[in-house]
Amino acid sequence: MTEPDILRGYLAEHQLSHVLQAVSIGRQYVAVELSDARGARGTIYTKSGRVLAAEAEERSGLDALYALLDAPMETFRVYRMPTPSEVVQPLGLILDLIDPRRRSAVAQSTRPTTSRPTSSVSSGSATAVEATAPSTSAPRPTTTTLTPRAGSPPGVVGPSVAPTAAAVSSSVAAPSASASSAAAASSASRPAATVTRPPAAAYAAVHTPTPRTPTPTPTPTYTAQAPAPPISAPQSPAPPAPPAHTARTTTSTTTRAPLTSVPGRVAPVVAVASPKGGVGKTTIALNLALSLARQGHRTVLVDGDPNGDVMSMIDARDRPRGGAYDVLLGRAPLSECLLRTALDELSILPAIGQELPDADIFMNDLRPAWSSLFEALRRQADVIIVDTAAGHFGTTHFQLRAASHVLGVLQAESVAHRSFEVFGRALGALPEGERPQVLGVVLNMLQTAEGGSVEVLRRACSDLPPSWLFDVTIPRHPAFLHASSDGVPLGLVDERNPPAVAWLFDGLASEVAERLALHAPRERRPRRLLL
Amino acid sequence: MTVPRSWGTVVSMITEAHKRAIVSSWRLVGPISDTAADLFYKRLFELKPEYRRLFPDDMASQKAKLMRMLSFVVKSLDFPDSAWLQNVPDDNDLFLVIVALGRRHVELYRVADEAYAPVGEALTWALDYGLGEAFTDEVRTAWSQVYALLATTMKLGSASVRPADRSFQH
Repeated sequence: MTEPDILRGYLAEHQLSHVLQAVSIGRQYVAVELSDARGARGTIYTKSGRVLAAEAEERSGLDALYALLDAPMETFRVYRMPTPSEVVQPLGLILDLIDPRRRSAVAQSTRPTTSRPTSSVSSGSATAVEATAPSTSAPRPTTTTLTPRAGSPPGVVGPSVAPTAAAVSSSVAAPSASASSAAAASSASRPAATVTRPPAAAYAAVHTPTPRTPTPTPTPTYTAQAPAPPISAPQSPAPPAPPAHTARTTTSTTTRAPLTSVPGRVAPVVAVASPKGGVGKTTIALNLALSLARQGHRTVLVDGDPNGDVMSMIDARDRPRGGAYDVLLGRAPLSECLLRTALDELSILPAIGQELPDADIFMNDLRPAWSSLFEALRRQADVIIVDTAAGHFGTTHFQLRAASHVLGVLQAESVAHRSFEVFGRALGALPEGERPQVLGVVLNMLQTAEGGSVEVLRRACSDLPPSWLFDVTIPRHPAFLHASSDGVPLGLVDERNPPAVAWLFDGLASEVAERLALHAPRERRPRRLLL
Repeated sequence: MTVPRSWGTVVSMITEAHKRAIVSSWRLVGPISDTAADLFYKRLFELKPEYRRLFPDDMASQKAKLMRMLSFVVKSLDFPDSAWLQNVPDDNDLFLVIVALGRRHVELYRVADEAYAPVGEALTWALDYGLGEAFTDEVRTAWSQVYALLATTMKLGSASVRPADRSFQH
């Protein structure tokens, strides 16, 4: 990239709101730097119509944003910034934040309230969060150099920064502030398997003062928005944060969490579906969920098939006290039905408990009930996998309408292949706005020695939209029979020595995570092979 | 609360409903693409006859370019919110492409800011005429909001920094 600058101009000629509106239609990481006669005074960082962060002198967050919007500036510079190594919660949508009508509404909702906990944390789980709390809870000195005009929203300073950001993102995005902050804190408490680069390094390296600046400006320190501490303790007790991070206490030490731990980001709900039965949906759903959890994503596997095959697969039909259908009908609370597993990151919601549901509940429109069940699960998960009953009608119909994505399972066998033609059509028939995105299609039970099976693979490659088919293909293999006979998922057949085919689900999980953008993006860091 | 001076007009958010209205109305324009382009220029030159000389005599390729650009705009708007963190190549980024388009309009064609209003009118008129009943109030509002954003972005073309090579090739 030769020239990172996209726009440079005078605010006397182009209004700042227009610059920001223009920037909002793009989808790159773009920063808007504002300067006056004395030099650069602050920067607004954006992506895809959202304000990621803002800094001005010692302020940050919305405080900085409004200070920059209100103070008289002379020039602007819009430039491309490299992908940051961490993503923090966006402050909100650009067009929303700069709308003067909305600003007064936001100012009302962000008055600091004493009822919200700020730096006190309920459990010892959020060590990483505590490390950041001191930096944002200290009241900011009001700078005389960058005074906002009279009448700017009061109360958008100091300790209210965290709930402010959470409140704003809740006014523009679906998840509630407390729910998403619980998700943030509980993910921050997860054991860190990866190293964190504090965002100050990422932003400071990029932010160079404009050549016109007569006096050098100090490098702004970017302090990430600390996620608001949880209102209730997270589900599992968490180990303390690794000591390597506590050295830097003034900058964010949130671990490189999957993206969905960022409040404002909604966890995807992936329905595993196929028109025909017996193609391997439950096998795929179970093993995929296991692999996703092993890769660090908090996963909930929901059995949407009233036959309850997930429990059969792990030989645990007698265990559940209640299931999804009991929760849907309000007969049992979710907390009692959600089962923990050998992996902290994986929870399972069986379909039913020990009692069969009444047949007539399936006559009702269950979509709103599934929707609110998924919403409740989204607060405690990074991704939700739903095993569905075969076909696109009945209960599956409502799950598809409430899901965000659908993963099709195509068995490499002629009858299944013919039936799969319905997949796209049935999805198209769903009402707009309630149609899940096709995450992809996985070919299952491939038998390379059988011409008919290979033919399905060939046809799938040519007939399906190219972006659909996953790279990973699952073969027909005796290991699956052994696993179900033992009542364990493939990956747990022998933990030290899993069968080779079990690794395929790790690959599938990686592909799924990639397509869902479950990981926070960061710069590529290639490494030379030879020493 | 006082709004700072020279705040300018603010376009309200493009909602998901607006995006859907744009995408679905554009689908209806597809089959009548040539007619829509004809209508647009006919109306534009009715409103502003002096603009005719800014365009080539044979308008065929110009009309094709217009429709391609509008297709690109619609396609760019049609992405799910959940994909906001995905990276988009430069020549597919609506902001960068429209800024470059705006720069060409300012530098090469010497189009003044005042031109954007009649162009917007002509566009609305053409869509209205071409879509008929399908041009509901919601569709109209969606297109005028999108157009307002595009016009705002294009007018910033005069602030654009000339990159090494950033051309629209669709």
